[in-house]
Amino acid sequence: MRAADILKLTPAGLYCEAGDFYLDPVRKSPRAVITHGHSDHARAGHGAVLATAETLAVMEVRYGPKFAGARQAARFNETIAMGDARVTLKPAGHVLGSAQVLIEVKGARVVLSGDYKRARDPTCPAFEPVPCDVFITEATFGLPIFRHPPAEVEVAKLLHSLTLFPERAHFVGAYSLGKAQRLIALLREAGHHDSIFVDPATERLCAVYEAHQVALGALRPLAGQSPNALAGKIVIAPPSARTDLFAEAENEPITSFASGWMRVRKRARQGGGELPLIISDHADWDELTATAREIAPGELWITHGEEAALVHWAKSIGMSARPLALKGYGDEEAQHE
Amino acid sequence: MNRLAALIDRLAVAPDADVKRRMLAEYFADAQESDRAIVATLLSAKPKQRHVTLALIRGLAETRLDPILFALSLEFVGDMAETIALLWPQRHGANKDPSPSEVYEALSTLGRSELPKRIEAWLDACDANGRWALIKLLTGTLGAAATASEVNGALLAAGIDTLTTETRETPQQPQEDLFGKPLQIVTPGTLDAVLMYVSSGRSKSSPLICTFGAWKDDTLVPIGKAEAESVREVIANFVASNTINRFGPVREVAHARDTGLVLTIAFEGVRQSLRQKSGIALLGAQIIKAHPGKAPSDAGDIGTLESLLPRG
Ligand SMILES: [Zn+2]
Ligand SMILES: [Zn+2]
Repeated sequence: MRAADILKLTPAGLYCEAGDFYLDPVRKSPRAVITHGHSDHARAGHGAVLATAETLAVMEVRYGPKFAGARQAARFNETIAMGDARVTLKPAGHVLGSAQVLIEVKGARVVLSGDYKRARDPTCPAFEPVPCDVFITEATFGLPIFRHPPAEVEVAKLLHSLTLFPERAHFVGAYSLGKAQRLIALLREAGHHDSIFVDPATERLCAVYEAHQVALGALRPLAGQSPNALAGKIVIAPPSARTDLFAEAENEPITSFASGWMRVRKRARQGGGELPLIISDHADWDELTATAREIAPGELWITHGEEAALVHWAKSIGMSARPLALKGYGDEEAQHE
Repeated sequence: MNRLAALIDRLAVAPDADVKRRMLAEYFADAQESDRAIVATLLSAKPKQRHVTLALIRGLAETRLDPILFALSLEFVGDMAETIALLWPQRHGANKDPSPSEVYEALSTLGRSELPKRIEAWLDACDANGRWALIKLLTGTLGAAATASEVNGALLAAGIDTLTTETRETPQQPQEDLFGKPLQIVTPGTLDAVLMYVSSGRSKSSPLICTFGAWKDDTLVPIGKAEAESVREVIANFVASNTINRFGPVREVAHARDTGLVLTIAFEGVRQSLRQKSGIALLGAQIIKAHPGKAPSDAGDIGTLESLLPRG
């Protein structure tokens, strides 16, 4: 069997015939292997879902207990036989529970990276490079203009602003799964132990992290707080929560947005508030290219994001590469990134 | 350049004047003495000089970058200067990023053939934002980031001795303005000047620091600072009813031809400002009298002080 034949491109997403399952399907499917809980990858309504216990917990918080007909939790590095295919989940370092999927059929190996990053993240285990014949990579930040600075440096900017403007609330717009918890964990590491205020969706997901041994310190619900009680505090919530919250505040809050897109000045000035923070849970250009070199697959396939530059780069170093142009992913990237 | 770039970016999105002032004050408080005047000019709305073309910098970038990756990146970013700034491959172990005054000094001393190599070394040493600000500075395309009064207020709030006239310096000849030799002469004298800014500490007893100016054509330009001391009460009363602007602890008071407070200043000497050809600084200035009834239009002008400077 050729590794390139293990997966087929269908309207629902990538399909493995040997194991009869779909990967992160964008349509309701009888059997799905899910890489992680972001809503463009993990959808409700599949017949059966295989994912890490953390990802299943995230899906339950978001979609309710009946999000799938049946579910099976897989541990990292545990190999599960599915028909003629063997499936192993490997850490992807993207958010809590995020996994790469290794599929082996008669000795041929394909790895789907899902969304991943190589930068340090105290809230999830680090990405593990897995040797394979076909490596299917994401390319959300697949242009050489994207080089994320260390997240610790960006968090220091936030804390510095808090000392410069101690009478103002610091409202940080961050996606409620992954970005918010990483930010909180990094703030704690940097010595910020004050209560952090979060919106209900973020709070529920923080509880999932806490249940999986990721300590996030003192969190308080945003609901019901008077705007003046938030002076000098850090608030982490989706950007849309900001408007109602501070309409009557004595001091305008400092508004921030944590995203890899903040690297580009136009984006930062449109959506970054006063304090754009370049913090991303996706691989930047250097990580994407270093990972492809390290794994050195026979073929590099590129799922979603900025594909053209990565394909060009791979070919320029003699690596065979092709874009899959998968539809339905990245809808949330503008936020979850 | 990295710090300046961060300041420019944050000023562009500051939510209100108070945030702007604190950012400016913080920047100037930590800035090298030699950078303050240059930065004040760079932030202003004045037209800036183009030192090199963007095409030259693009040429430098093209020798290091894959043309297709360059084109795809430019398509995404939409702006050449920023694309180069983001794409320029960071060189680890490069020098510290240059300060604005280092850049200006090199621009005034290096020959045109030496410049490209130096620009490459600067780009290597800056972070992505610093590279962007450097490219904008070199190509004369930095837009206004703050008003003159915001910058002046911040320079005062930062508690420094730099004269606020610096924002009026001519950017076209920075080397002449900035690196001329100070000329100084000890000629004691007095002059009637007009109160412009007053800075007070937190408590009622802390000194009031007054900045005063003399006429240059139709505008008042600051010439020095002194404590209110013996005329504290008059000044405090004037400030209470004539404040037109606040910058943290600093208040700007009314100072037009017909409204304002005239002060008699005694000084020990006059020196030429390092930063402005026609700039004047008073040495050992002291406020000896306040004249609440006097019209500011009767105060002294710069020409009087200039006549005290030695020729040459
Ligand atoms: Zn994701
Ligand atoms: Zn995604």
